[in-house]
Amino acid sequence: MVVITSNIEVGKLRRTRTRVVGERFIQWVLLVCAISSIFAIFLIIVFVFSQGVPFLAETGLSFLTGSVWLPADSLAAGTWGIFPIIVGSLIVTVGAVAIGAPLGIACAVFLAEIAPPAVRRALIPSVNALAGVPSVVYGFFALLVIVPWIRGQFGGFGTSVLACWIILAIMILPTIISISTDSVRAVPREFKEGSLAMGATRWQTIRNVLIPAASSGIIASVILGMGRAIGETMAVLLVAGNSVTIPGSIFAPVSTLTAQIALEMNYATGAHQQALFAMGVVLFVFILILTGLANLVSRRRVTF
Amino acid sequence: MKKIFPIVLISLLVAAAVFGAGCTSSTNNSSSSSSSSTVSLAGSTTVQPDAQALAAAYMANNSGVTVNVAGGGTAAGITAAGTGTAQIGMASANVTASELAQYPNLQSIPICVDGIAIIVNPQNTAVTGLTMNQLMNIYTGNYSNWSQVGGSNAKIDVVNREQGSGTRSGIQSIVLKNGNFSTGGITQSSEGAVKSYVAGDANAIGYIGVSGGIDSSIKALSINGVAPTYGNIANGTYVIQRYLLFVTNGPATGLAQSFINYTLSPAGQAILKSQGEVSLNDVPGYVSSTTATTAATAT
Repeated sequence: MVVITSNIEVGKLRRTRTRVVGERFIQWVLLVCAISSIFAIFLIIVFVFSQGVPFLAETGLSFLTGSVWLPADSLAAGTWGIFPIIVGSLIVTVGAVAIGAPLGIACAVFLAEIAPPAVRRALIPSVNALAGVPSVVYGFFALLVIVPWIRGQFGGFGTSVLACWIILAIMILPTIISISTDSVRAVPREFKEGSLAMGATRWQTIRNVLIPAASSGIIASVILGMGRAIGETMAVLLVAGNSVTIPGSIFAPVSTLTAQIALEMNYATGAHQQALFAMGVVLFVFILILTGLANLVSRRRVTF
Repeated sequence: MKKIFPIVLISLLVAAAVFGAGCTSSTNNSSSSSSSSTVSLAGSTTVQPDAQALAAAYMANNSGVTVNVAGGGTAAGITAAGTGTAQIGMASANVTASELAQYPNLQSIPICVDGIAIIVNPQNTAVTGLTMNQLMNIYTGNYSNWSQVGGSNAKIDVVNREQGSGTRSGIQSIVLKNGNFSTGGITQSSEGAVKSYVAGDANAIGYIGVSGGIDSSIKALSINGVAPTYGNIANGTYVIQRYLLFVTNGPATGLAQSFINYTLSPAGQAILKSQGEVSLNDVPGYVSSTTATTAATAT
């Protein structure tokens, strides 16, 4: 049996108890903060789905497959078909990623492996600055520079699929570059040293060892970039043309889910408003699939 | 159980706080904002520059009063007036039957007459005017090439406004006789966006309010041989025209009533004239009154 008789030891015990209570309080505060953020996304999902799913139930599959979009305030008076808009969103996203991902990954490899320190010091703040530009400024720039250029070179409206591809590729570059650079840097040095020791050139090392080793992070960054591209609203609203038709060529105008919602939400009432929420549900499903994929892929570890 | 209980308790507290914060009374807006010294307007992007000019003059004459003018389109403006978000809604088309069914106390006060100009790019030199029939065919998609209406061999780039736009409703009722627009055009969300698009595309055709400013960057067409001049709009020979309205929920009171009276006064009408609108006093046979009239259906 231990009897605590010394005053110093009793004092130490008292301070320990207070410290424990203080610790617990801090932990509770952090727990509340974490739960609030989870709650926010939970509330958003619940609200959007509660407004949109009843509308989807009433219109059925024709909402997703119909090609004519003529909204009205009551369900019966309108024609609800968003197939061209879904196709528009997908075309714009796939093209943006097809242009932006190779550029971004190449830049990431350059930054991580090849760039001399001076160039790296210049490039990294530039990439971060790209990330900080507001999307409406991107859209405005594209409207004043890219759209007239396309109209002059290729004819047509100018506000087109190609304009969306170009500006969205630029917008997703910072996401892809920063995450891919970190992934390539995180590959253990032994991999690179082993490959070089076996006589491989720098490019062979990068291509056959480093990029495959960093592939889970690179793929996760591309998927996150895809999520940003599909959710981009303001820039697309300004340069897409907002024509609810399936684009016949890359110089034809297009409408995306996000831009259509932004265009109409100011004045939509009744069934029209619920239809916009239903479009939000479709968008949510796409984005949830993409971020789920990103989480899944980034957890894989490539082992040698 | 012991570890889950605090998490559940905190979750319930956070939920209660969030839901409690969201429950606000929506009837507070109109009564509180009319007793303060601000007047809020929202709605049509056609009326917006006129309202801003009126607001500037009104604020110069009445110190201590702030007049806020926001855009958003005609339908958004009427909704804002109905819900009390704005004291005065700006509209470039009449209140529709469904809007009246939703907000039965809406009252419309005409403030001026505005012509809708059909604009093309100045480089489109061959076309100076169209008949109403040609215009209808262009907007329904039957005509797709400028050569079909006397221009060069080029595709017609049709620029529309979004569906909530009063200017678009005006074109739909007057030119298309309530038919549908074709889906081949692009959509821009404000007057300014339409104007800058047409100024940049040699083959474009669009519609803006005459007050939007027919400057050297665009060219206005004559319709059925009648140009959209002040006199032609005032005497009605330029048919694509409509009243611009201030819409209130019930009779306007307080500062909102004062602002509307200022708009209808000779000083206000002079400001509207300087903006390019046609003053109600210059419309032959128009009986001007400061009392509101309820618009029943769209013309």
